[in-house]
Amino acid sequence: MRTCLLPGLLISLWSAALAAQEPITLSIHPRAIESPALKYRLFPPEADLKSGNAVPILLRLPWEQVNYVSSDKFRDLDDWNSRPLDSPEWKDFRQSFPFRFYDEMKRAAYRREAAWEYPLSEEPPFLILLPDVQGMRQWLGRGLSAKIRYHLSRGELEQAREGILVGLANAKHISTTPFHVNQLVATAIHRIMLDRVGELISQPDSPNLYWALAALPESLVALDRAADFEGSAFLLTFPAAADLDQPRDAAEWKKMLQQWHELNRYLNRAPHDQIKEAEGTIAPLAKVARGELPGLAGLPADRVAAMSDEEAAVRWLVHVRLSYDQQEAAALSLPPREALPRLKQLRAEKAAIESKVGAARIELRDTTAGYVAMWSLRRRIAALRTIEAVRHHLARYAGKLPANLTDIADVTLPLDPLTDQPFVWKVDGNQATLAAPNLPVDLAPLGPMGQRPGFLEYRLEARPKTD
Amino acid sequence: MNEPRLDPELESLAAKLAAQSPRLPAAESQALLYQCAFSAGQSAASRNLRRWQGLAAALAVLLAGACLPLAALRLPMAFHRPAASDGEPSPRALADAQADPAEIDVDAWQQPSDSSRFLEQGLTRFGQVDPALRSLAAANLSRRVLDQQ
Repeated sequence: MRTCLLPGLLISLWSAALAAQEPITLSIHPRAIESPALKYRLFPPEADLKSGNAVPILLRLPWEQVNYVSSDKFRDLDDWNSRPLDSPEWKDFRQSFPFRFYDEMKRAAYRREAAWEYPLSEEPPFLILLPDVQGMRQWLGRGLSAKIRYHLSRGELEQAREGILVGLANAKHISTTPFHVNQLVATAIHRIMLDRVGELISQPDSPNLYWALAALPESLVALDRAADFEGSAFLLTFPAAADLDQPRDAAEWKKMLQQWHELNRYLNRAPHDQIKEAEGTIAPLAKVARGELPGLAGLPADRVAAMSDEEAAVRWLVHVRLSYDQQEAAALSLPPREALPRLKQLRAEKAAIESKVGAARIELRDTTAGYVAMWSLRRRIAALRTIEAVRHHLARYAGKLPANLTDIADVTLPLDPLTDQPFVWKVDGNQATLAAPNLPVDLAPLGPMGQRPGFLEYRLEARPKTD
Repeated sequence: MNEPRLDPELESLAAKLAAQSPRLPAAESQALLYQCAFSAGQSAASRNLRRWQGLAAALAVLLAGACLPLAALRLPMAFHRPAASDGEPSPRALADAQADPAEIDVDAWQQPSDSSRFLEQGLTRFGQVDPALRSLAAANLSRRVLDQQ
């Protein structure tokens, strides 16, 4: 019963992390840029990394705390993440989180390598099970986040900062596996850690993290590697598709189509009865295939006409799938200005293909929202850097908010990486709003709950310096 | 006239030295050792060389024997043209008709005869997975997470 819940829990983390559409309210206090610039860090310095593999350390965690991970305390960790920092219940947190967990997480964070040893070339990649990803999001996402908030509730800002560093470094370890889902889970954990950065810098005595944020790795996830791998994952799963020109008789083509159907049955989201119906009637698919194969695959019309229905269907399905996956992989490697229009075209192609033969026969992915979510990490880091620049300005000008972001001296301000435009800044007395420009809805469609991809807005209240 | 008597200890030492076999000078000794070693090595090397020559010859004969039947099969295949037929041409005949002899992959016989076995085995293993856990497959997780956005 519990195992059925695993994917649901994973998805709920993702949804909670990415679907938030509410502005984030922070109090900010004057604090000049730190000297030396990198006095405080949010990612392990290269010089401090130790050689070795982080993965066995992370995977051993549940085995060291078997009773704990099967307890209600572990399942209820997320409750601590919605508890106000001034709640008296925080005094009981130490009974809810084994601090030994944290020691091991920290050890893993400072390891240089993360080799997860998934059987990428030994099993069909689409069918590789990733149960560990579920565990990672629980203790690296929710558990560590709760511990960081525990320290914030006690004013232990240095421990909180170190906890964020540990979370960011370990989430980057998760992203070393070139599956999209690993990048998405890493993105969700990074996003949680950046929320904790927001909470940290709103504490009265928080150090200024402008340079710590600027020194984060250029990308906290490996979107380019994931795009490249997933562009080849179909061929790695279905290697016979790579040699369609190898002579085959009708029985062999029939067997290939059966394998396609079996794979489709496991992976397609369409209702089971629709998939079974599609399997039973290949004539409509073969008709489309015969009409398009001469143009798509450059095959002579008489040769296509002589093919069995199964051969025509397999050739068409493989050609369409390969073409779509590789166009998508190429688009995902582009920056947003170029990628989003290209992904929009691919969505139109996907809709056309699925309307022609039915989504129960071939399912194509739309990764636009995942792409925006991954680039939104950079957006969030840039926004937090801007807030730290504002705190620096408050320290220089007796707690007065800048009327415009261009009034901020001494430090440069990043543009919004998703739109290449400046953040929108509005001031009203000691209140200010910092918002990321919205993405056009045609390029980044709203989510199923109406959420706007990449939405980000901070509402800031300037407070006087504390003594 | 009597010879003067030597010290008894010196006489004893002289007697011992006289009993020793004559020794060559150091340089000659080194040269002699070198000649011995060279001769020994030459003898061993020529034995090894003869063994290798014999082995290489045997392998060459075996290889030639193995290649002849393959060449006999390959040549007709490369220049084969399907005969006109009223019936539907087989896929194999169609593929041969498309292929230019110059483009024939001479290593094709080395390819696995059934590349679909990899997926077949993967599907069999996946079919044995608890159905409740199949949604943890990489492709399913990616799709479901993306759907939720």
